[in-house]
Amino acid sequence: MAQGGASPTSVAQRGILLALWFAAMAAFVAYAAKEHPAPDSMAAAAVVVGVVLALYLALADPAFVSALSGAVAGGARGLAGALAIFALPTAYGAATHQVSLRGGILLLLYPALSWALIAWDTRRRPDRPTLTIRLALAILLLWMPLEFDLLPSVRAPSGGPINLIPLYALCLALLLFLAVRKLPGIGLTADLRSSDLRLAAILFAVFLAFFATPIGIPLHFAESTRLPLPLYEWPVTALAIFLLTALPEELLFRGVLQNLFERTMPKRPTAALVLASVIFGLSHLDNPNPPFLPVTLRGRHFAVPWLYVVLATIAGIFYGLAYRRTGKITASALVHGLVDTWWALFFHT
Amino acid sequence: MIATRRKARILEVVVVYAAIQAALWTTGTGRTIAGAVAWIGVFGSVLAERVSASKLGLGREGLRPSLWIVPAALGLLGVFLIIGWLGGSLHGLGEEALWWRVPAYFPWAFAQQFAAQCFFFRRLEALGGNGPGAVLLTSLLFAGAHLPNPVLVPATMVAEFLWTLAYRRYRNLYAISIAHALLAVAVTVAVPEAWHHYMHVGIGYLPYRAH
Repeated sequence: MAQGGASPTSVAQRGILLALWFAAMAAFVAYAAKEHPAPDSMAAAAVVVGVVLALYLALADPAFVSALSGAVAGGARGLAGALAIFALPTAYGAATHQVSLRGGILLLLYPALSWALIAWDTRRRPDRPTLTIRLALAILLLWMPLEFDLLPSVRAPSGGPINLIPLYALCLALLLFLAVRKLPGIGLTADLRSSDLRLAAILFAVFLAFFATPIGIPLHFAESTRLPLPLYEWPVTALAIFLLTALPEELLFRGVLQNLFERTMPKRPTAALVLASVIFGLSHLDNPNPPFLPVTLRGRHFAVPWLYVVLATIAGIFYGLAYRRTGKITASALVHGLVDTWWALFFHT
Repeated sequence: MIATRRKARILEVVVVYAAIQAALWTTGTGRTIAGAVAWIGVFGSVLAERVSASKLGLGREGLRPSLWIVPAALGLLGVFLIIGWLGGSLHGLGEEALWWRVPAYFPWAFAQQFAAQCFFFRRLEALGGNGPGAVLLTSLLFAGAHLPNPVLVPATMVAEFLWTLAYRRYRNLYAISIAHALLAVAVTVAVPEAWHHYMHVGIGYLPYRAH
């Protein structure tokens, strides 16, 4: 079972979280300014982005999570907390005409129903967080609307490139699993030791040299790109991948799913690792990258990107190993972020 | 017992090399299956040996003394660029940054050197002793995996002979992999595309259309 996790956050770690927030906000302002939005709309957008990023990063601080757990203890306050997270993007979306009445109702039902399932599970089994039907439904309810774009998009500034709903959903999931369900071992922490960084670097190098490259290049899944990104885009690309792709996916597949599988079958941690990795691989079925395997189901034809799924499953095993060895999704997100950043900088599919 | 082990090693080398050639000369499912056999053969077999990373050449041992290979390869890259420039064949350097291709190509060069050295050379060395025969045979096999490319076959023959000599001496993969990436980039930009057909090998070499 994953070890480590919720050690107290030091001043240096809080400094890292604050620096990440400033860096992410600076990148956001620089990119949003390219669209030349009106100053008031830019200010409003900066508030909704700044709040969600602050909440996201604060949830990596155990002291904040502990205070939050106290604040949302009890039924009504938990529901209020879940709804409060979505209040700001819903209000912003309505004010900027991105969210209709139906969309607004969906944005309120989404946190309310997710909270209801998790609160129900907490009441039924307060001390034994294993994978129950209730939790499985809650995970699907949190994940699928994002996977299939069932929720309205709220972009800041309006028409800009960043949809804020997945970020707010991430904060909701963190609130529900950390503060309401009190699931131990998620491992969202800024406490990364040099041994964690070394392990992340080794796992990244092994995956790249022995799996991604010798499988991806000969089968024409990927080719080395010939056009470099401008130098200033490197850190922005890496930061965006880490915060917007790697960490959210690691929360779902390692911090929640692998963690729950390990707790449900404590004597079979490898099975838990493989199962979470296969689900992670299958979650890439909707990616449009060849080679495809034609599949017909009930008369409907599907093009399955089989190599993408295989490579993502193998990658998932490496991310899962990082999580299992360190007990930190920030470590597995580092491996994930390195792989995705390398791919973004040096390959095209 | 020893004879059986020897036969098993020979079989390993033959099967993996045949799978690599099959992957190079087929397309679609055939390529996928042959590629999977080759990959499992190389990595599975090396992993099954349970040899330490440093003995394979993946550790720090031998790294420092082998590092002279990198500036030597850089020098050779410069020579290639000058020859290409003088001969009027230098191309692809406009908006494409030359240096960018090296890290992009490095993992693929490393994977190829891993297969060539850690799998083929180590097995051939075990079969035939630590003499130049294993070095020569490794470079022949490596060059054979670049058929029918008339540029890459002789180039990889010579280069792999030198890289294998270096591996035999230093037991480290990193410097020779960097040299591989540097020289691959040098050939790509200094030799006319009509000759190297975008560096394709196997069946991919044949359907070249000049731009």
